Amino acid sequence: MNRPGRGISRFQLYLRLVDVCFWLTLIFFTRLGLKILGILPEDLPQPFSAIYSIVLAFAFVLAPFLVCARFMRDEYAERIWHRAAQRFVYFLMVIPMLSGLALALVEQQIEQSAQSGSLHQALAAIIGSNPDPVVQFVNGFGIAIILFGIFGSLSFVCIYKWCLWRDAG
Amino acid sequence: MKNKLRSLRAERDWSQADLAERLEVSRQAVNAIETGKHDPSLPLAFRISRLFGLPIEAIFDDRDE
Repeated sequence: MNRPGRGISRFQLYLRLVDVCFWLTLIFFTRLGLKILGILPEDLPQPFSAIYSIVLAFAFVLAPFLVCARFMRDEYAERIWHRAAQRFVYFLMVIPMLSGLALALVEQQIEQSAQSGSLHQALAAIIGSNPDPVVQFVNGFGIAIILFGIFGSLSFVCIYKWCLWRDAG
Repeated sequence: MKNKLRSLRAERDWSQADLAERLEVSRQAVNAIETGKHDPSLPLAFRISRLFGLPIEAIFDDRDE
């Protein structure tokens, strides 16, 4: 029987993209955590800042694409997806409590880093740009939805990768 | 479920990637089937059966030891 061609299949590409997205997410979450704690400076020096922004934007687009790209998953990847979806629901139930606890523990550090952080100023500018409390609420709600979309899809990819590791181990 | 996929593949000197490409699945899927972590769907089991020219029950064994 002839050997098949060596081109990468879409199923294999999917798992590689999951790997790429997972490592980018890990870098993003680590840097974000260190920034919130004030350990890392708010902005990277150029050109690292520009490169980091482009790579991050790629991850933000890639993660929701991977969650939705059914056509790139074979039956095994689909089974892992269902397992990850189940874990993700548990994660959604636990994460508000864990976040609240973690934020309470590092509240002081957050306050200190917020005073000089450009990200914090940017968020405050968007939410508080209009004096109307209803508009402020809607702006805040909009940001919460966007952040949920970004963090949710990135977290899903991490859970998916974890399920893959567990299955392979 | 136990199966003879690994030995059948070895007889033909195929890598997991070779078999994966022939079955149109990922290499990880082949590995999961070989190690018994994933039971293939009926359509995939038929593809495997056709590829090796053997009946499904000659490749897969659902009986407990």
